[in-house]
Amino acid sequence: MALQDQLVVGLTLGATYALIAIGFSLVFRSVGLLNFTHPEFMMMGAMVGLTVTSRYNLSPIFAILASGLASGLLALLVERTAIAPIMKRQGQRINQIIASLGWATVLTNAAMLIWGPQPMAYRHTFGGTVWKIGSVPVAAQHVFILSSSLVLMVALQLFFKYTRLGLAMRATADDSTMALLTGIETRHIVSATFFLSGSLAGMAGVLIGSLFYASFDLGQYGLRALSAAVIGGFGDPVGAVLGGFVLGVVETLSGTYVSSAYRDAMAFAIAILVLLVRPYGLVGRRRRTV
Amino acid sequence: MALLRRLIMLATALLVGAVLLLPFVTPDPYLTVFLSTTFIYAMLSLGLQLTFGAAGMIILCQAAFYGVGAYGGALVAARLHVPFPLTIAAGMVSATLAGLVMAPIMKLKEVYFAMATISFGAIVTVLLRQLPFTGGVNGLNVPAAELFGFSFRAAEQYYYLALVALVVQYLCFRRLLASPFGMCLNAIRQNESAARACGIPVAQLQIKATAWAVAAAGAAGALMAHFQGFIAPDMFTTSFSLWVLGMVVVGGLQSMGGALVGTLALALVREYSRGFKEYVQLVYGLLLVLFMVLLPRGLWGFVERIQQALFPRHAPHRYLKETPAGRPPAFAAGTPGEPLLQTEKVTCAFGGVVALNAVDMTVRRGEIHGLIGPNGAGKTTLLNALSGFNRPTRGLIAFKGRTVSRLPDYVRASAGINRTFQSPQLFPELSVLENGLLGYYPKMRHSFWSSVVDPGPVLAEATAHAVWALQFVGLEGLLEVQAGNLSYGQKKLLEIARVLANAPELLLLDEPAAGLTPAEVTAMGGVVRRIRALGVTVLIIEHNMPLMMELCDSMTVLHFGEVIADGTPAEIRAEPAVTAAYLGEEAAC
Amino acid sequence: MLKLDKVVVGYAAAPVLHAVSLEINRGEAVALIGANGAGKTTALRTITGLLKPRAGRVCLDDQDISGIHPPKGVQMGIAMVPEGRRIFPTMTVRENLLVGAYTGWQKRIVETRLRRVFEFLPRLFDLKDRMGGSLSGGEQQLLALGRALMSEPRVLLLDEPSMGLAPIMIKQIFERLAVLKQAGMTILMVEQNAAMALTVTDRGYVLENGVIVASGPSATLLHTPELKKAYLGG
Repeated sequence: MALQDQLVVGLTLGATYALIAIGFSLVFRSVGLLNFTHPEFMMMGAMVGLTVTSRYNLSPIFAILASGLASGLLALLVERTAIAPIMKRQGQRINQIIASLGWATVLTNAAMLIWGPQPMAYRHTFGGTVWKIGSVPVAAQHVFILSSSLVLMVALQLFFKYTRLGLAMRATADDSTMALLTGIETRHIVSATFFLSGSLAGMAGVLIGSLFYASFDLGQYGLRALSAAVIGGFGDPVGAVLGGFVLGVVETLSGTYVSSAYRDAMAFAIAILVLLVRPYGLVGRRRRTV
Repeated sequence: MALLRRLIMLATALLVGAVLLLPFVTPDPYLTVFLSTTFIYAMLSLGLQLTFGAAGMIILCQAAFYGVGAYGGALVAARLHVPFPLTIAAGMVSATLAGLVMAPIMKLKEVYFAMATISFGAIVTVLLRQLPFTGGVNGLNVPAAELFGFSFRAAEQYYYLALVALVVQYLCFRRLLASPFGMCLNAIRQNESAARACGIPVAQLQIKATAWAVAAAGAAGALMAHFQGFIAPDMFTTSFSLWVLGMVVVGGLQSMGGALVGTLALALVREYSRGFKEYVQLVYGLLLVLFMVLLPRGLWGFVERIQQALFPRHAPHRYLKETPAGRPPAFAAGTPGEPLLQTEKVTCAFGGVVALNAVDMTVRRGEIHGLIGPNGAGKTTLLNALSGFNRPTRGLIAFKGRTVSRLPDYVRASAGINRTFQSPQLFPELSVLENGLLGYYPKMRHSFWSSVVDPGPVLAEATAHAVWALQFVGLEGLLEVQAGNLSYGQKKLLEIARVLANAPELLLLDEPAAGLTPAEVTAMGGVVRRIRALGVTVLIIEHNMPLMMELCDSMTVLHFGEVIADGTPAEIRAEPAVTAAYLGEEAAC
Repeated sequence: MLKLDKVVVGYAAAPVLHAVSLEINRGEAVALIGANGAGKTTALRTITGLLKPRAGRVCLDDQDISGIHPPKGVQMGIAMVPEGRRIFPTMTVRENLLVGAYTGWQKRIVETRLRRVFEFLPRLFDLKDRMGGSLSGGEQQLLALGRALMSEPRVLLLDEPSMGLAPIMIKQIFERLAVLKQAGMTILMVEQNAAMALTVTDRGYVLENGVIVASGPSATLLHTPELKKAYLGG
C-alpha cells in the first residue's frame, strides 16, 4: 500500500480512536476516574448499530444516533449503580475502578449472550465505492468515518463552548466545589458527563464496527484507544483527539514498516513510553486533584 | 463461649485433616484437580494481596508474570530436561526479570500506574503470541515435572506439590505482612506523605513487595505448566489478571486469609456455573460491582469479626507476647547554641508565583525557634523545603554543616529532620501503637530473617520506643485504639509521638496548636517545652501569638515570602514592620 | 438580613466556631477579622451551606438556611468570592463570567448582566478572551468578583480578597468594593488585613479562636486593644 493510502487508513483509524479517547478523558477530568467500562460502551454501540443496520435495514446515520443513545444510557446506569454510591460513601477511587471493571465484564458477557459469540460484519452500505481526492484513491467508507468523526468532534466543541450544560461541565471539571458555589448542580453534571462520554463511545462503536466487524470482544480494540488518551494527555479532550490520530497513524505505519505481528502491541508500548517520559501526555498539564 | 471456641478449633482441625487427606478419601477424582488448580491460583492472589491489598499498588497485569513464569519454566523443562525445582526456579527468575522491566513504571502515580500495568500486560500477551520460541498462538506442550528420574504424572502428586508450595508461601507472606516491612506497605497505602515523613523509602519497598509477588507468580506459572502439560498465550490475558484481582477483592483486602477465601469462592463460582458457562462472566462482574459498592471489606471481614469475638488478642502484636516497657531512644547530643540548621537565600518559585524569596534563617541547637507571618507568607512552603517535601528553586539548606538541599524527604527524616503536618497525617487504620512504631523505622535493624522468620526482636525494640513516646505525650492509655477514631487533639499528639520515637535532632512542627481547645493548647505548649528539655531543637510555625511569645527563644517573621524580622519575641513584638504586616499599615500607627 | 445565631461548627470535641452570633443588615458592609485559624473561612463556608452547623442557625431574611444545598443558596442570592480566587483556569474570562450567571440563564438577561459587569470592571473587558489560568493574581481577583456579581446577588461574601495581592491591586479591589457598597450591596468580608477591611466597611467583628471578642463600628474597632491582642498576643 502506498504511503498516502496508509495515511488515510491511519487517520481514519485515528479518528475512531479519538472519539473513544475523548469520552474517556472527559470522565477522567470530571471525576478523576479511570472508567474501564468505557471500551464496552463502544462495543455495545457497535452491536446496537449492527442490529439497526442489518436487522432493521435503517441508514447508518440512524444507527449512529441509536447507538449514541443506547451507550449513553448504559453509561448512566453504570454511574448511578457503581460510581455514585461509592462516591457518596466517600469510598476510595480504586473501588470505583474495580467496579467499572466489573461492569465491563458484565457488558461483555451480556453482549455475547444477546448477539452470540461470532463476529459479524456490517452490511456494506458503501459497496466499496472508491473516490479520488486529487490523485489519492479514498474508500467512501473511510470518507464517511472521517467526516462523521470530525462532525462529532466539532459538535462537541460547540457544545462545550456555547451551551449552558457544556459550560457547566467544564466548570465542574475545573473545580467542582467552586462550581457548586456558582449554583451548578454538580451531581447532575457528573451524570450528564457519563452519558455524554458513553454516547461518544457508542457512536464511535458504529464507525469501528462498520470498519472491522461487530463482536462482543471488540472492547480490546477500545483498550488501545485508552492508550490514545494517555498519549495525548489524560483528561484533556484536545489531547485525546491528538493522541487518537497519532496512534492511528503510527500503528498503521508500524504495521507495514516494522512488523505486522507486533502492531497490536504498538499502542501499549507507546503509551508506556509516554507515561514514563511525559506523564501528562503530549498536551496535558498537571491538574489539581479536586 | 468456651464450648464454641472448642468447636471451632475442632472444625479447623477437621478441615486441615480433610485437606491433607483429600486425594485418598474423595470419591470424585475431579475434586483433586479442582483443588490443585485452586491452590495454584491462590499463590497468585497471595502475591496480589501483598502488592495491591497491603501496599495499594493497582497492578492489573499479574497474568503477565504468571505467563512469563509458565513459559520460562516450560521452555527450560522442554529444552533442558532438568529436575522440577530448577524449572520452578526458572519460572521465578523469568518472572522476576519481567518485573524488573516493569520497575521504571513504579514511580507513576495511581491511575497512571494502573494504565501502565494494563499496557504492560497487553504487550506481554502479544509477545507470547509472536515470539518465535514460544510456540505461538497454538501453545506449547510441557513435559511432566521430574525429580531424580521420578515423573510427576498423577493428579494427587501435583495436589501435594501445589499444597506444599502454597503453605510455604502462605506462612512466608503472612509473616511478611505482619513484620515491619508489611506494616510499612500498609502505611504507604494509607498515607504516603506520612510514610515519607517517617523515613520510609516508599519506592524501594514497593519494588520489594512487587518482587515477592512476581516471583511467587512465576513459581505458580511454572507449576501450572507442568500440571496441565500445556500452555497457550490466551490463558494469560488481562481478563485473567482481573479474575485474580477479583479474588483479592471478594476475599478481603490486607489479609492473606482473605486471599485464600476469595480464591476458593471465585473458583467455586466458576465451577458451579459450568452448567451456565455463558453466564459465568456476568455473575462474576456483578459480584465485583456488588462487593465494591456494598462490601468493600470482603468476605474476610466476617471471619475477622468472629475471630475477634471468640479469640480476642490481648498482645499488642501477633509476634509480641506483651507490651514492653517504654524505653527512650538515644537522643543525639551537641553543643547548645551552635547553628544546627541554616538556610541561605532559599527561593521557591512555582510557575510565576514566588512563594519564598532569598530567605536566610538560622536555627540554633537546643532552642525553640518560631516561624510566624500572615496567611500566605510562605511559612509552610519553607517548612516543606526544609523537610524535603519541596525542592527550592535556588539557595542552600545546611544541616549540621552538611548541605541537604538535594536530599529527598524520607532521607532527611532518617537523618534526624522530622516534621509534622498542618493537618495531622496518620495511618488511620493502624492502632495508636502501630503509628508510633513506624516512626522508629529509620533506626530499625532490618534483615531478611526479621521480615520472614522472626520479626519479634525488631518489633520489641521499636515498640518499646513507641511506648515511651506515647507516654511522653500522654496517650499511653489508648495504645489499641485505631488512629482514625481519635479526637483531633489526640491525633496531633500522636503525630508528635510518632516523630519523637525517631529521636529527631530537629523537629519541624506545622501549626501544632491549630484547632485545639484552650486546654489542649496549654498542654501542647508543655509538650513542646519538654521536647526541648530532651535536647531536641524545634522549629515551630504557629498563629497563636500568646503561645509563641511564651514558648520561643527566637523567631523569624515572613511576609510575602521574605524575612522581615528576626530576633527574640520581645524584639519582634516591638517591631512596627511586623504589626504592619499583620494588621495593615494604619494599625501600626 | 443575614444572621448567624449562636452557630457552633466543627468537631464535637473541638468546635471551630463556638456559639458565634453576628448580623449583617441590608445595605451594610461588615468585616469579620482575626488571625489565621480563628475560624473566619469556616464562618463563610457555613453561610454558603458547605458546612452544616452543629447548633445554632444561619438565617437569610429570617429564613433558616443552615446547611443549605449550596446551589440553592446561590439561587436565594448568596454569592461567594472565595479564598484564593478559584476562577476556572481552562475557561476564558468571558466564560468564567457566564458561569456566574448559571442560575439565571436567559440569553438577554445574561448579556445585560455581562455588559454591566464589564462596565463596573472595565479591566475584565480588555481581558475577556484570555484564559483564566493566565491571569495575574489581581486580575483573577477582579474576575472572581465579577463572576460573583453575575448572579445579581443580594449578599456578597468575600474571603480574604487581599491575600497574595500587591498593594496597588488591593487598593483597586477595595475601591471597587466601596463603590458597590455605595450602590447598596450587602457585603460580608473576611479579612486578615484588618486595616484595609475596616476602611471599607461600616462595622466589624473580631474573631479569635472561634469566639467573637470584639465588635463595633469600623473606625473605632481599628484602635481597640483587643484587636492587637487577637493578632499578636497580650
